[in-house]
Amino acid sequence: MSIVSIQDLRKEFGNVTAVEGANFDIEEGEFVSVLGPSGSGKSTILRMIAGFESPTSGSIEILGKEVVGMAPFEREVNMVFQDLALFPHLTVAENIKYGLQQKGVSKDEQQRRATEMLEIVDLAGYGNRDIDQLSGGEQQRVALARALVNEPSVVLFDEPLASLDRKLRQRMQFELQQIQEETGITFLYVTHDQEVAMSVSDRMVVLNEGKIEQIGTPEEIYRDPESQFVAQFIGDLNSVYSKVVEANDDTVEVQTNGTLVRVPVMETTTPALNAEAVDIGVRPQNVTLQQTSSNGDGTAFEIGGTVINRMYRGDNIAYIVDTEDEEFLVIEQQDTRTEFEIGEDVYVQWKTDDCLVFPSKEVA
Amino acid sequence: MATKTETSKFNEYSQSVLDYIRDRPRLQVLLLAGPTAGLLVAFFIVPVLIMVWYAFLTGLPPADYTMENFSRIFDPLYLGIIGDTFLITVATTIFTVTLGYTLAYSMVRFSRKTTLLLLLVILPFWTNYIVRMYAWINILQADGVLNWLLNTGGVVEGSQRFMFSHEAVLVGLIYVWLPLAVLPFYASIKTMDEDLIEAAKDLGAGPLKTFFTVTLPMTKNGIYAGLILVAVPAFGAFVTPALLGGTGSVMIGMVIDNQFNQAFNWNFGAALGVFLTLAVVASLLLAVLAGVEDKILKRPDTGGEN
Repeated sequence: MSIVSIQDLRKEFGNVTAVEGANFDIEEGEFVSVLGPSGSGKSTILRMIAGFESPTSGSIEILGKEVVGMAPFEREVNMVFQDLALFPHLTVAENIKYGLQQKGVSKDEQQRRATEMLEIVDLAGYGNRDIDQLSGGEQQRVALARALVNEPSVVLFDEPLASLDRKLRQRMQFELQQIQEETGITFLYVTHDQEVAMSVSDRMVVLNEGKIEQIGTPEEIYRDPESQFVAQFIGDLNSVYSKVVEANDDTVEVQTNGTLVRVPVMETTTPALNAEAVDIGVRPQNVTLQQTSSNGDGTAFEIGGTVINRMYRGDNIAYIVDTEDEEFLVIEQQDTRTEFEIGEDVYVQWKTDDCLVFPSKEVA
Repeated sequence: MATKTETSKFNEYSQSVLDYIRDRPRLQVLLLAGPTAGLLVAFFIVPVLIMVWYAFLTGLPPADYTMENFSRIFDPLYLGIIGDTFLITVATTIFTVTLGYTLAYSMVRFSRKTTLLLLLVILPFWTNYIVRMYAWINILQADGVLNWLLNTGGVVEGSQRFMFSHEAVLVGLIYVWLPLAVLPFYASIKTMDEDLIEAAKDLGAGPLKTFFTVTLPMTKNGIYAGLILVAVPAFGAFVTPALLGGTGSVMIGMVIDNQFNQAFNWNFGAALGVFLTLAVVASLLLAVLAGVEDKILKRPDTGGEN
């Protein structure tokens, strides 16, 4: 049985549709992220599961029990809020015990579990401190402990790491993952930060404008994005518009710079086979820059352009190349032999195998 | 008319004064706080000291020193009035705080026209205090609005006596001080992070539990402010009880007024004033020392050590 099961979930605010027919299940012990840009409806989904918003239609089941219509305090879920919402008038231990108290757990048991929880989040001995005596990272851990101590069926996270600096965020991500493995509690994590989502989750739900674009493991989503939106949102993507000359079972043939190129189409993006025009995408890491044109054998694309910007980024160098169609972002590892200067004429090359083909967004 | 050179000379001069002040933080404080502090010393501290001095005299100076004025306070007549005053103050405070908090809470949480409502709450302040009291007399008197309404509505027959009672004074005091309590309540409820309420509900607390363990403790500073703003002036009230209570409900403020304006016993009036001031200050101090804060707004009882 799924821990959380969401069916045809819909939420309208006035005449704005925030969530448009969402369906997904979360299994026990999973770490699932809901990822999307701001305004994509991800927080609304989370708040509907927590009980702070009621859906316009659809159902939410927690452990097989319908919870729509139940008040937040009747639901076996706990939330880690974006701004943490720790009680400033209570100590760390009192914050953690708050939920247990509401359940009527005995004082000894409250004490035992709070102490245990403080150890798990690496804050042993912090029980009597006030909340404002803690650093940002420590507060994050108290918020996590306050949710986990109730042993909810699922812990909901509303982007709690967003306010931390990069280093601390990465460490907290790692700790979050460890704690999740340790406790075996199911996590549902909402974020707009694809880096966080990719690194912590077992599965990701990618949302755009209230609709689910794709559900899958981080790897599936990065490798085989089902839509251009997903491909662009998860990692960077260069994209070239092309008319389809001929479509076969699993390839499309397009014309570029007078050469016919046959591009394999992923199973997940078959609509591209029926499109009149396609956008051919490629990740910046898969593009190389060449000083001279090497006439293709039909397995690679090549476009001429000029380097207009160069960003040194430590372990790699990013170039922006202005071509006839588009500006290209190219990321070259530092150890590549050749470096290019701004203003230099170059050839942008990438293999057809690295292409992500989508029906074109532009009107043909 | 200032010529160009004069203007520049003046600028130069003021510049040098500014430079002089800039490096002297103590002088800055003196310049900023001095005028107000001076006013307070001249028209508050000194008069209070004079009042204390009078309280120990047998008559207008020059006169002998005595404790007579203070021992007179312990006459059952005055003790009774002080007791009544205390009860009316407590009742006024309880009603005002409860009504004011409920009002402020509803304004913040359930209304979109908060600013307009707040304006309406403050509006009575723009009308003269005495005028508002006479309005209450018109409502409460024998042939007043309230009696007319009750008779027309068939609730009671014949004119009821509302005026010149403790209840009339209570209504008047609540009416006068309610807006003053609403403001600090409003400010503290408004600035409270609403996520905390969601957090409490998320952790399993029902609406009442949430209110008593989160909302109330989080807004306690506003509550204290409102409480003091109401209780202190209500304790010393004399216009409202004089107009609405008359001889039916005498408060200590009226007695003091009487001593100064009718009995011309300034010394006894001063002694009563000193006594009341000390009583108010002492009860505030006691409240702080006894940790009223932790007892009224109890922390969730979680034992402690960790």
